[in-house]
Amino acid sequence: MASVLGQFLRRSGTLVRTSCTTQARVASGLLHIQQHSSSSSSSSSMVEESTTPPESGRMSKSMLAYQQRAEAHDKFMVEQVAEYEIGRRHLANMMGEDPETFTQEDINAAIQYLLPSGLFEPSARPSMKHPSEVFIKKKAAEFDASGRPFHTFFYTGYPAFYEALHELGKTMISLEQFANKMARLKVESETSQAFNPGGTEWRSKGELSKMFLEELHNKHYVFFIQSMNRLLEHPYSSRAEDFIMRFRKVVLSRQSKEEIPKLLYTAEGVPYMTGSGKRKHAEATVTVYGRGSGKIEINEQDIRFFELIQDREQVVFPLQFTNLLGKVDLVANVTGAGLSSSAGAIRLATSLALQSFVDEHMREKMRLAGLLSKDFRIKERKKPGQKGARAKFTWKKR
Amino acid sequence: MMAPSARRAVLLLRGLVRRDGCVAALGQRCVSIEAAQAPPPRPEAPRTALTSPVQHTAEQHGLWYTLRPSVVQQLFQYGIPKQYMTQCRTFAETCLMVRQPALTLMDYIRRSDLSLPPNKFLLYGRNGCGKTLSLIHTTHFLADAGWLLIHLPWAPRWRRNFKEVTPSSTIEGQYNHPLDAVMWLQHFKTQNADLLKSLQLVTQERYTWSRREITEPDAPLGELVDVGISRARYSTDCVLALTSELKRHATEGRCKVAVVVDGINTFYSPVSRYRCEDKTMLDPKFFTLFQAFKQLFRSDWKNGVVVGSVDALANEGQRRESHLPRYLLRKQGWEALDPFVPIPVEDYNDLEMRSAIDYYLDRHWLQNPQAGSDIGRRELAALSAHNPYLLMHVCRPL
Repeated sequence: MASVLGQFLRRSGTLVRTSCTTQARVASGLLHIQQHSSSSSSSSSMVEESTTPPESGRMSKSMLAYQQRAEAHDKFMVEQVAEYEIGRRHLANMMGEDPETFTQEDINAAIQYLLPSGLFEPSARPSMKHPSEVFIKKKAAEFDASGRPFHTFFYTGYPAFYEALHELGKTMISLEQFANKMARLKVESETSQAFNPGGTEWRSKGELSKMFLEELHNKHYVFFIQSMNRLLEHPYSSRAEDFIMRFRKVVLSRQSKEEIPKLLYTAEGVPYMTGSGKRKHAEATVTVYGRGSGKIEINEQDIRFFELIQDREQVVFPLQFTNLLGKVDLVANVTGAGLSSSAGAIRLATSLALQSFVDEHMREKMRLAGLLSKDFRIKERKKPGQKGARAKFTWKKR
Repeated sequence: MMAPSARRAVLLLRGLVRRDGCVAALGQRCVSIEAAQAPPPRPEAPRTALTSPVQHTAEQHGLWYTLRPSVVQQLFQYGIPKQYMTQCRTFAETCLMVRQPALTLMDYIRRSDLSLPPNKFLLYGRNGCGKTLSLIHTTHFLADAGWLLIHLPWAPRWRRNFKEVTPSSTIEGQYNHPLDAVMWLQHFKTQNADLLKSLQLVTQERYTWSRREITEPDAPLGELVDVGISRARYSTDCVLALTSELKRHATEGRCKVAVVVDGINTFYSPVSRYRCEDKTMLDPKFFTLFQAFKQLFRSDWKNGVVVGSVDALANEGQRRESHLPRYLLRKQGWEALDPFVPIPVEDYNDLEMRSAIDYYLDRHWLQNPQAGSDIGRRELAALSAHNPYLLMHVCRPL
């Protein structure tokens, strides 16, 4: 274990805080890691073994208190879960649904219906979540009755974190050995054996902290990510995909999820597509007709509906970007007050309609240009005690 | 912290890194593929060498003809709109595009039977389409074709931007414009100086201005004009006298008289800025100058032509919703001017738009390298809604 650690240290070239454990102790500790590693890194596991005093018959007060606290927490969680279940069944009854098949989504919908809230902040609205999501997860008992910690790295203060680093080191070494073997046998693969990081990204510091149930510092996180990146750069890193994916989350692009609607055709065979968009309080519905001559109609007027050149540019931008200006006709209907917001709504609606006219490459470019995203900015609320959303009343020194 | 490969991927995705690895400057936004190609060579403005509109035919449609500086000074001290004049000074030349409404007008004037009561041709169209400049073109044609010009550059000046209005001492209940009439007489003199000398028209009545100032019959008309210019007090009556004399001369066949009025519908508007002694706003029909011109709109003379424009901006603010003649002229204007030939003035068609942009490029007014490209032209056309005035506005910051 120490040799593995030493090798890792040499390779990484930085100092890692090591636990001051002896070899013999470490050997026995390993067994405990294997047994309890899952329990320490997973959520609210209950300590099933009852607290028995050691052979000597004495247990320190702090130890006792600690174990009592752990037991109390577990008992508390059991009660909360039971209450939650009862509540869930009651809610299902209220809504006239089958209690057996009442899922969390149904609960959310029911609460939204029964207790509608106009509050802006989602976390301030009423909700009913499972206790495991509401209450902070705590680690199970980290040492036994005699005070001996289960985890080898307990005295580092961040056992799960350092365990992950050790596993990283081991993985690195095994990959190196594999690479050497391949080189010796002169085996070269045509396809790259490196891990493909596409579509995934590293978990954030908060997510890792939650996973390890340890409050990581920035320096821990930075070091961890640097080390993991070095692992990714290894030519055979795809062999360690399972290990890597524990610390990466999949980032799905919305594009791949949503289907682009196919073009519709009028009676004369002219292709067209409708799109709708919103911006602040303006709502626009736009129909784009193919095989056109560049006519733009907004609420039965031409583009002179907008007097500002900025608003006209907003309307024209999607067509100019996709190079369809002068080749398609645009018929827009917009409601809601505000000219600038109307222009933004028309722009979004036009872009969404144009998706059906262009190929995937252009669609990706449109997405990157921000044409397909709704502008979520709205007028900020005025706060009491202030003149406006941000402006304060005049400050008088005395 | 992103791995170098991840960072490069991000940069590639954002289009900031070209294939050879150079990083483009920050702030360079995504542009369409066409716009990224090399700009086309600068085109020449499509011009015609014919400087006299008498020679213009349908072949010159869309071409730019240059007005000689002497012509501009003589005829158009007051005629050309201010913004267009500023542009001409910037370009160091006064050019006009030969467009269909002017060609139609000139053709009709050529074919008019002058032995019949005068034909009335009224241009109408939306704001910024080119009514005034078509009138300018036609006025130049009339001057070159030997017509005597009674030219009112912008009629609403007498109704709402007059310098001074005084009650008339000669005609009961009517009001004079001393200073405005002087300015107009000077303008008339400059325009028609040569023609008055060559035609040798004389007064046919005796005009008693005061006990000592009398204009005898058989005095040259130039003298009548000089009286009005030198004595502001009698200038309005002088204008009335002049118009009556010219009408009589035309009927008797000694000259052909063209009446050109920009904003003819202002004569039939009931709103003026002058407050009478009894605190009411004066109806413009009591202006002597208006009377002088209205007599020319009647069909009781010969060898004449009335050319005008019906402009929404010539009406008061509340009566500008439509650009159509019947709405703008009101009932009394329609009855006074009917029958007339309405000539629509429309936005640029594709040929004219191309010609206009070529002219701006020729004058080095459009500095953006993509302005002359296909996508650039389409963008200019879309943003300006093919309107000449709006095109001028859109091109200003380019």
